[in-house]
Amino acid sequence: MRSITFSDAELLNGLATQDEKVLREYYVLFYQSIRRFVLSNNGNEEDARDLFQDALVVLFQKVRGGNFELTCSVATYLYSISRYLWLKELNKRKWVTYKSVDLEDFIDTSSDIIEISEYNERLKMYRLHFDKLSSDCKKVLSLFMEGHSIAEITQLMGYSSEQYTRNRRYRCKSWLIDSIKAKFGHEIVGYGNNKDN
Amino acid sequence: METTRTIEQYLEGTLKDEERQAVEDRAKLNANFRKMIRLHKEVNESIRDTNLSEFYDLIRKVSGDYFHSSDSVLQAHEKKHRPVSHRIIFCIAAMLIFAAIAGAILKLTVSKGMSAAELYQKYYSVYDADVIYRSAQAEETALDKAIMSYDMGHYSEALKMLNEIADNDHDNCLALFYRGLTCMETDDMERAIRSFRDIPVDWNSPFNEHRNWYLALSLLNSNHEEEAAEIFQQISAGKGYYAEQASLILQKLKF
Repeated sequence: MRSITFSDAELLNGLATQDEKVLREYYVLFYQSIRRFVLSNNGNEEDARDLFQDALVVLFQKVRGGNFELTCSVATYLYSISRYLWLKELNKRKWVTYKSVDLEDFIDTSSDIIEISEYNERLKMYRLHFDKLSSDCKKVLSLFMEGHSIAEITQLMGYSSEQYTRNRRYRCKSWLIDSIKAKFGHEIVGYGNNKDN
Repeated sequence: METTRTIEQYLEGTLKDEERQAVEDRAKLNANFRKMIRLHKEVNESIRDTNLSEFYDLIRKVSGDYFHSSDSVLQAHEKKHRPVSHRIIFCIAAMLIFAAIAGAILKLTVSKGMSAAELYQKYYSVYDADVIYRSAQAEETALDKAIMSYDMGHYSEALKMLNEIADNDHDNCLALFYRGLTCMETDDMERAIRSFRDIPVDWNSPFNEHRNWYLALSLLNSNHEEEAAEIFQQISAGKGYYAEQASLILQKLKF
């Protein structure tokens, strides 16, 4: 389906550049068809909302990657991503042999959709834990990730020495990792699941 | 904290050669350590990737606005259709029950058959547009909108759009089907019949079963009982979704 206001290229570009107006158009144009698909396939309203968001983030990741080539309309591609993610979700929910009711044209999407979606989920969760750190820790870790040198960070943060800055950074990172592991240790780190320790 | 320090320095590439080798050897033998390295790496990516977190924030904002406005529309729709008070509902319900009981007694004493109008009232229900069709063609965007208008009860708006679609594309069976349904809702049975009949008999679509059912009901409600009965017989013999209801109508229909 082609947007009345935006072409497919504009829709993709708008997504990559996080254009709010374009993102609104995605909801107006495509949400109802995804919703109908989910509701027709053992999902509820909340599932539909979550799925649509996940599909948008997957598309966003693909588009901003740079070498993404669209071989169908944005509508069909987004529907196909959603369909793929939802069938995986049904599989998780033990609808193992579920045969979907399809309301739209769809294409075969590559298996990296799931990989991207799961990666997005993990990053989202890490970010939630990061947001719970003290503002001081968040700032130190962010400055490191932005590529500032130890000397710059020491100065910016007003710390007494570069060694203190290094230690502060590792301590903050340790807290963050411990916080994530405490909540999701089994899923992420796989404690107790491996015999080769 | 020492493990964190080692892993972070490994990821930065600031370890000495022998230290780096030691980390890699440990990772080869220890799956949990490998996972820890991956966790550190991904956590760093999540901190670095402010673009993604901004995108999540934007989605939250846009979806919040979108669903808020959708909910407002729904609430307005519900409010519009909300009865004045429970007392009125109770009175109406009591009257309806009384009328139904009286009608049933009268019917049992007078006749076992039902008129076409009665059968129509009994068996007609609004087609729930739970299935929407969309593809990459531009005119089907209009069809989506028309179906949504039908679904929301905006029949005049839906009819206008469906007429335009059907006029431009005589083979658009789905538009003809929904136009038939919309005409039924606006009590224009003759036009509904024409629209349903414009669809080929052998329409290869899951909607064909619904078309036949609603065509038969339209005929029933416009004094074409014999033609309706023919279609009900086909539906009844087909063992499809409406087969049982079609059989019951045939049993009760009196010409």
